[in-house]
Amino acid sequence: MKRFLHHLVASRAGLFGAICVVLFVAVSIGAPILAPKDPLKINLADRLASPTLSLSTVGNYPLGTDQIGRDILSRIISGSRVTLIVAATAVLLGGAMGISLGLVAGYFGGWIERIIMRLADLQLSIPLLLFALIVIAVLGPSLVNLVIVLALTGWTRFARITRGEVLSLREREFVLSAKGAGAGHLRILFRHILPNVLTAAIVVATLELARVVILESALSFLGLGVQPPNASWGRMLADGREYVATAWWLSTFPGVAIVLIVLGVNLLGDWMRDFFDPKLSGVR
Amino acid sequence: MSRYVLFRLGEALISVWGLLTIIFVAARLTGDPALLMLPIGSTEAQLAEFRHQMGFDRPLWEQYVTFLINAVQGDFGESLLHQRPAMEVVLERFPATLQLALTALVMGAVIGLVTGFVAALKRGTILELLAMTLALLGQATPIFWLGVVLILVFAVQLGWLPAGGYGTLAHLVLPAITLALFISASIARLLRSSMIEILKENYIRTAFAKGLIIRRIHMHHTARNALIPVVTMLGILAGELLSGAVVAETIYSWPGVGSLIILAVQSKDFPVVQAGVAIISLNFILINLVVDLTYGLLDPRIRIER
Amino acid sequence: MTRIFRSFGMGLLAVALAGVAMAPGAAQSAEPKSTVTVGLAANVNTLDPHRTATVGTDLSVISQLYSPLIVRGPDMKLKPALAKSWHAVDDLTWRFDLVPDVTFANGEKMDAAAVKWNIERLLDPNQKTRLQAWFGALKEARVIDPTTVELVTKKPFPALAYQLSMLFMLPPKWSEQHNPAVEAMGTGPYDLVEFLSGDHLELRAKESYWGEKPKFEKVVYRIVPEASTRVAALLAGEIDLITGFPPTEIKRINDSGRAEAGAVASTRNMFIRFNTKKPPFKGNPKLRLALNYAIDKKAIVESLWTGFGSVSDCNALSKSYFGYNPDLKPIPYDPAKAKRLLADAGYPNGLDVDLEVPLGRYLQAPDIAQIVAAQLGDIGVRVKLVEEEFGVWIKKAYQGGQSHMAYLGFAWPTLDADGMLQLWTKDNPNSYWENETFTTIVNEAGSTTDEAKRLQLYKKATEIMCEDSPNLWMFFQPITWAQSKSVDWQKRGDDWFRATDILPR
Repeated sequence: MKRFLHHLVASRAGLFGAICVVLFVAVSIGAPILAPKDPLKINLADRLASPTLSLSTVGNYPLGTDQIGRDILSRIISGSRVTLIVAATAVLLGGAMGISLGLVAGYFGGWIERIIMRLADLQLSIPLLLFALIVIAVLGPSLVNLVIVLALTGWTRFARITRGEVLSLREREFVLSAKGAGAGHLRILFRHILPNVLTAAIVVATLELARVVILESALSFLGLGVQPPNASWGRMLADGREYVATAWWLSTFPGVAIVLIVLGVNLLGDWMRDFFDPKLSGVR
Repeated sequence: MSRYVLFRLGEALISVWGLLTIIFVAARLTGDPALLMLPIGSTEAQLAEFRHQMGFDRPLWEQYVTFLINAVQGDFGESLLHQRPAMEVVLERFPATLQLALTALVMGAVIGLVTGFVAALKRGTILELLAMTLALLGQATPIFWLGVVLILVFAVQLGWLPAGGYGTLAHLVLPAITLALFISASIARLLRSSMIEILKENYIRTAFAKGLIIRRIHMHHTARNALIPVVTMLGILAGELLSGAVVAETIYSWPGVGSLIILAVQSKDFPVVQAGVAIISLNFILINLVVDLTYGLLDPRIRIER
Repeated sequence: MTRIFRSFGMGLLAVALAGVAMAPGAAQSAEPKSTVTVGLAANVNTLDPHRTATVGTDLSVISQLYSPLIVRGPDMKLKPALAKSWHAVDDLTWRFDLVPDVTFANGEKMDAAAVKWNIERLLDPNQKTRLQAWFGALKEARVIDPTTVELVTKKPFPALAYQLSMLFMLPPKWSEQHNPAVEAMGTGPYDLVEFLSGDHLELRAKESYWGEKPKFEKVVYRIVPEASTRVAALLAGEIDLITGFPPTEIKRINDSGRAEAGAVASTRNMFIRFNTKKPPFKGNPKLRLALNYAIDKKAIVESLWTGFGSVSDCNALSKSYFGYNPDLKPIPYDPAKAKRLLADAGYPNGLDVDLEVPLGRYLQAPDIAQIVAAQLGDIGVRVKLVEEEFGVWIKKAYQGGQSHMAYLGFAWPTLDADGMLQLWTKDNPNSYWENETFTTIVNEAGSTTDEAKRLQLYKKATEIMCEDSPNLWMFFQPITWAQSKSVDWQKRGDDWFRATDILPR
């Protein structure tokens, strides 16, 4: 009974997470229709207007306006698409790369491991700003290159976490017995090790999601990112940095949007882990 | 064991060399120091003269060879901005970075471990909700936002703590808390998740069957294995903090290596960039060595001497 | 009732934002103030007076430790310092009478020989000095007697006296054994006590300063890079004087009752540079003029900078500069006329242009660029914004690689038309404008020391600048300042930020 309650709570949270994520995706798809105002419309007379909530008037800004008088709600909605696409792509790319390299490094060991892990060290040691500037100098500034920078600065976390787990897992009974039964490397990696690594990897992915969105705001100071006047949450955060004390709504509302999407993904991630966990099938 | 450590250190030197080579070439792609160091209105001849004095007009390979020969002797050249040895400029900032990084790490690890542990054991209770909300906020709140708000509250309004700066313990409190909250979020989430996972595993259930007291199970079986990703993450975070927490340093006027290196990158002070990156990469290598050795302590089945 | 969100917000941050006025910390002491703390926005990197050209930080601190021959006061006028008086002997020679018996703290004499040594160090290529660029026309120093020195120039150098206010004198013997980058031994009003790079500098008043006794016993320069932290430290009573924060903070500071704030127009002229070396702006002054009419400069200053800052008078100079032309007036905002001119210029249906925005250098550049893009859009000019890191941008722009337009600004530290207008002459790498007449006039004015003649020539040069519109003239960005109630800073629009300009009250 208690266990059942546990699962109800867990799945309710999972449901809530799913709703959150679906909602954000829906908003980002329907952004042009959903935005109450033109997200690009500058209105100097109304700059830094504080949030007001009323259904009657037209000149109303539910989440306030930014430093050149644009409606923040509309900008959060219109910026969600590029923000989510960039963040999701970067995390998925970084995750795929990091997890596979981490698996290989941890499982095979030897020189392969050394090369992969030293590459990770190398990547981590290059200051982000310098790395971004190098990418700009060599590849030029673009959204694709922004994703590349974000993914390349993220893969190392996945790789190190995965490798650490694999080091321990590969000596466990179930792996050793699978080996004893003559299973091939690929089969062991994907059937026996990967599922056990995913728990930590999903957590890292949700951590990465927040990191990547906030990082995008740092990169917007270098011109690598969404070019104005278009909005992205990171860009809005960056714009609001100077106004935390005088106009808190500039950086706070994009921040809330980030918290909500991260919350949704966290809950969904937890639920997915329980759902797909091979060890839980007997319990449920 | 000591042979293994020596081997790793040798490997480390090779990777530092590789990294410095990349940085040496790449930094020169990102801009021209003459334009940023000389005043506006300098003539072409004056700019060329500056590049000549600094040796930037020599072929890249020649500059590189000179750089390597000097770097081996610990000489990273003279900072273009500071006009003294680049390594001295970097090392001078290191104590501040170390102080902030270690304090934040210890605080963050403690907070993170406690919250993660509580959240895993008390699943479905209000305690878990509280712990995970804290972790969520720590993970998704931009550091600059938290920094400015903390300064407004504790320095401007209450007057309890200084609004940034370096020197006394009071100066350390706000930046350390800011970073610790961020660190604790990663730790708590990873620990909780691994613990839940492992709690479900067979051998824990076996332990239950054997009638071991619950506390012992928690401490020995669950926690130790669950700590592997936590230790890995701590290693990554430690490395990043020791490379300088740029945003926190800037908000709190903390004289660490992060803001120094960023400024050097922006003003194309190549010697400082190179010296800084060399120090950072040594940090990462040392920390990763410690992390790998810790794996062996946590799970004796992991054999690192191969 | 309609303001639910506002009250929600205030609740959310109430602790942080609402109760600023009640807090302790700003208590006033009855004793005369003996320490003044100044907040700097960027690090002081070096104390070597010849190896830095950064006025706002390095040279400002250096000016407290060392003395120049001539100093520029807060009123922008030149005053004697180590040189009691000076005059031009002929077009190529200037004579300076030094204050007698000035010594460095180690006993070295600050005499004509010391000046000669300093000039030689400045001009020596092996010394890697950064100020050479400002003194390119200087040839040598000649010692006449211990208190008389002559400076000889290669060509007439009318702005020499102004330029000398940026040259500080090192003690020759001491400098050969010490590193002036981190140590100091000067003849200035203060001595260096502590220099912790990236954090703070502490100075103490010299026991026997040869000039007027400094107002404060101790000066602390604190490095506080983040603007909001500087404001917080001021409000918390930790710092007495700050500059360079967003103009929106002015009201908050004044409302707090703890400090006062304002802004002065700086000498930095912000503009949008047309690339007149390639189409569509090449050979099309009408098009360039059309764009000048399309921007509501005044509205931007009024809103973004709450009225601080001043609109450019259709050329590079402001009232602070020698050579200012009082007859020129700003180009008004007239979108209808802009559209007409655009059609006349051959673009009745508008055109597509790129606008480059270097980041991290100029006040609110991305905001201004977006407003400009929107206003140009209103007359049919479709602007694509391209933001770039400053270092990346300037390397490209110096090699002639700038796109159609770029938003940037220039200030010339001597406040003399010669240096400033040189930046628009046709061979200057900063110039994207090839105007022979303008170049000839500016070069002619730069080669005479006759002030009346120079003024007349600059009047003509600035007229050409206005007519031919090499730029979209914008405004002079403001310098914001805030001070505690115990000090009074003598505000100035150039970058100098000196403790000696602060008075206790």
